[in-house]
Amino acid sequence: MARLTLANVPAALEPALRHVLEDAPLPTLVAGPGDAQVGPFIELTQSQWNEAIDGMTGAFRAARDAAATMIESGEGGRIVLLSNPPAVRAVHGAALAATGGGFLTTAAQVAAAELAEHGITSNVVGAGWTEGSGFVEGIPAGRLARPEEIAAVVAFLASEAASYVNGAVITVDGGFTITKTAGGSPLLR
Amino acid sequence: MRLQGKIALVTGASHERGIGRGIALALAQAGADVACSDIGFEDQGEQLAALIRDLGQRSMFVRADVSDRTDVDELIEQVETTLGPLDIACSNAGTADWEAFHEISDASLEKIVGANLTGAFNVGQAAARAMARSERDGRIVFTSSVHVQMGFPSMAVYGATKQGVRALAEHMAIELAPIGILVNHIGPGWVKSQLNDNSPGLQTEEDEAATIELIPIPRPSEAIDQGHAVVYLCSEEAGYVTGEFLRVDGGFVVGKY
Repeated sequence: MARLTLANVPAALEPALRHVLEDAPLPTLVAGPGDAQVGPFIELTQSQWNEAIDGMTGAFRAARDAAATMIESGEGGRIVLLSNPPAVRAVHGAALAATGGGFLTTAAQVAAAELAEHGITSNVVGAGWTEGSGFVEGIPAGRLARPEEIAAVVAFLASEAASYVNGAVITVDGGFTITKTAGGSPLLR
Repeated sequence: MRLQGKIALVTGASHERGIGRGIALALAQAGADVACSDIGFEDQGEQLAALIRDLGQRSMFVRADVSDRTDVDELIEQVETTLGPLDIACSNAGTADWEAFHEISDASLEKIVGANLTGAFNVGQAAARAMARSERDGRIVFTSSVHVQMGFPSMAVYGATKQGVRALAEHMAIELAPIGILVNHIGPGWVKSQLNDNSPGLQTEEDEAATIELIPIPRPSEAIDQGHAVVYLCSEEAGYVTGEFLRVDGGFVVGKY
């Protein structure tokens, strides 16, 4: 396989990921659930749901295919699946994103258990919102994430230094999911 | 009785060893009228409905595929037309396969996601809309799994769908509480259900004995154990409980060995 495969990663993250992973020591896959639609649960449409399912299963297939290729090559590899803040702490209007993030979290962890014997690690990055997605309110850091801050953690997981990190969920969200604030969800304003 | 006068729907209810049957019978024993649905096992579904009628409650069986939204909308319409406005929806239907992560087939992925995750969305949203339309308080209970808290090799898709259901249930909980709909999910441990018949780790008496050794309460769960938990979540006593995960696994996932 190519040394680096990106599947369904947010457009805002892609340049930063490519930059830090261009010299990744092992074949590396990074995949996410895609950009899910925002809206009240009770009003979500079938097409919005189907689009979210396509995103999360697309990432799943990418991880499965990457694992098969990594096993065949005998070289091992790194799988990093992307989750998101609502998958950890519910946010009004974010049911679709959360479902995808949750789905990929357990997918990555089961993959971690199965693939370790092949020299493959599989981990999750809970990627906080970057410019153009999500909102600042309620983030203890007081700002959105910079793409390079997400990419740096992915790069760590792809590196030799992370060879014993497997099945982990590393959240990079400025502290958003550790607390709760008043005022309702900006996603629905 | 705790659920006297309530109208309930249970999906994946038919099979005689299934969790759904335990949920349906426990709800009926608590006084609810219970509609039972399943994609198959229709004879067993009709027999379950008869059992519930023997308990003095109204019941019906409706065949439906939860992965098909049209089926689900028609199911709820039939239940409401026959039994009355829905108070309780138990989204329990599910399926599983055991496959190595790198060899999971597209067909298996689509089947499990369709039943377990899209099925949960379809039943959860259709039930919530029905409850909102009738302006009644409601309870929605999903059957998720211990997989929400512990990964099991060869079951990546199953586990992923259940984690998706967990996230979905939590979002439904925060969004629907203001209109009186509470949403929770149960986490069954090992039930000797039809779903587990193909589990490679549960094929022999020795397999079962080894599994029991992992469970602090040293036995498999009876389906009715799951039903009792659902009755609690649907009762007045659980009126301040939403977004919760009630694990009913005999203590299985608390420890690793």
